[in-house]
Amino acid sequence: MRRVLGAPPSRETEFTDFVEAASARLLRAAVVLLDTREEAEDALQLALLRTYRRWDRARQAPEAYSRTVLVNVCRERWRYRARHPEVKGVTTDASPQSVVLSFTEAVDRRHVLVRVLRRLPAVQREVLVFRYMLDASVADTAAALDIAEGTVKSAASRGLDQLRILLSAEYEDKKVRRVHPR
Amino acid sequence: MSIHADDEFNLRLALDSELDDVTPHAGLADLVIARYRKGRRRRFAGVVGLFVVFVGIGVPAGIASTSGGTPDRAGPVSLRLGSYTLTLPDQYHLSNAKTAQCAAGTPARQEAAAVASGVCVLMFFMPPAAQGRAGQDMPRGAREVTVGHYRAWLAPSGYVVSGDGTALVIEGDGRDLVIGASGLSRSALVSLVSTGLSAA
Repeated sequence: MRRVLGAPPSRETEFTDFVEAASARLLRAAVVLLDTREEAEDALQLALLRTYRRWDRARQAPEAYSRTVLVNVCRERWRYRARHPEVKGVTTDASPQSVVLSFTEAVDRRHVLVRVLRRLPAVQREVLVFRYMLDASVADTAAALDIAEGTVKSAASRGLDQLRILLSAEYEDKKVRRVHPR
Repeated sequence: MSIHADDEFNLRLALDSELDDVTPHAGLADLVIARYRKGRRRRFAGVVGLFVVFVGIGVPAGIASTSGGTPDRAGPVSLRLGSYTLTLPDQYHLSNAKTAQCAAGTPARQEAAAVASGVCVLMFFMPPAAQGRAGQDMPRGAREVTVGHYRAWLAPSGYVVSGDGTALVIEGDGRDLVIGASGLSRSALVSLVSTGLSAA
């Protein structure tokens, strides 16, 4: 966005600068927290919209504000999906339609680490995303997720352990498939 | 259980390299701002719509209450039109003749109305039934009655007041005074007018 030299940055300019700087990081976090890239993009757009609505308050620490909003949007989606299991993003049945993957779904499947992270319990996943993808401190993570700092530490520790186990299993499975192709 | 520095570092690095192709669409900020403006326009339209509805309800109600005086005022209510005064019991209060329920469809310019619970009384002038010959012709179905020292007739239903209203026509020189009512029987209207109507 063009800015007149000497003039204070407008609300729109500030917001645009913030989105350019932070949106990639937020989108990647949303990709881990939700099931598909499409869902993640929707969630990010909604989170940014809510941030922009409250920009006067959010401008003090826009990234902290927007990541809190983002995790709330993701939680809303999980709750919605729990109430409406029929509208799940990815079908898990073995019908012929489920074999045909969209391009983004195919890319998603390539992300081994993301897939493994998605299998973690919600709290561990959120904590790992906040701590290691969004670079939030323990205190910031606790505040954003509305949990105790001790819970953040233990969830991070358990999450990493669990991740290591799941990744080992994933690679073992691949090795077996290579030796004995199905 | 402890978090190993290596694990944290590896996780961060692995996620960065795995998701480096995940980038938002160009112009995301513009898209969000446009969506915000669209939502704001909708909200504004909603607020304006609500305002219009409230004004539509509130203004007539306000006019009715200001032109009708205070409903809980003690003492009888006087409905005045021209030289006539109709004194009504306490439970009535003045109302806007244009919006009064019983005034629907009346063609008169000069009107006065009063309402009580379930009852609406309206006064207005009307040209004589037969132009220039007051008291000569009554419409078919009308019933002549004596109201105090006035000569009057009860109009057939639907003749003056629309719906199920009752109308009493007091004959005058050049114009008739019509007292219409809804929610009152014919005899109650005649009784009300007999006791309350006076002329200056």
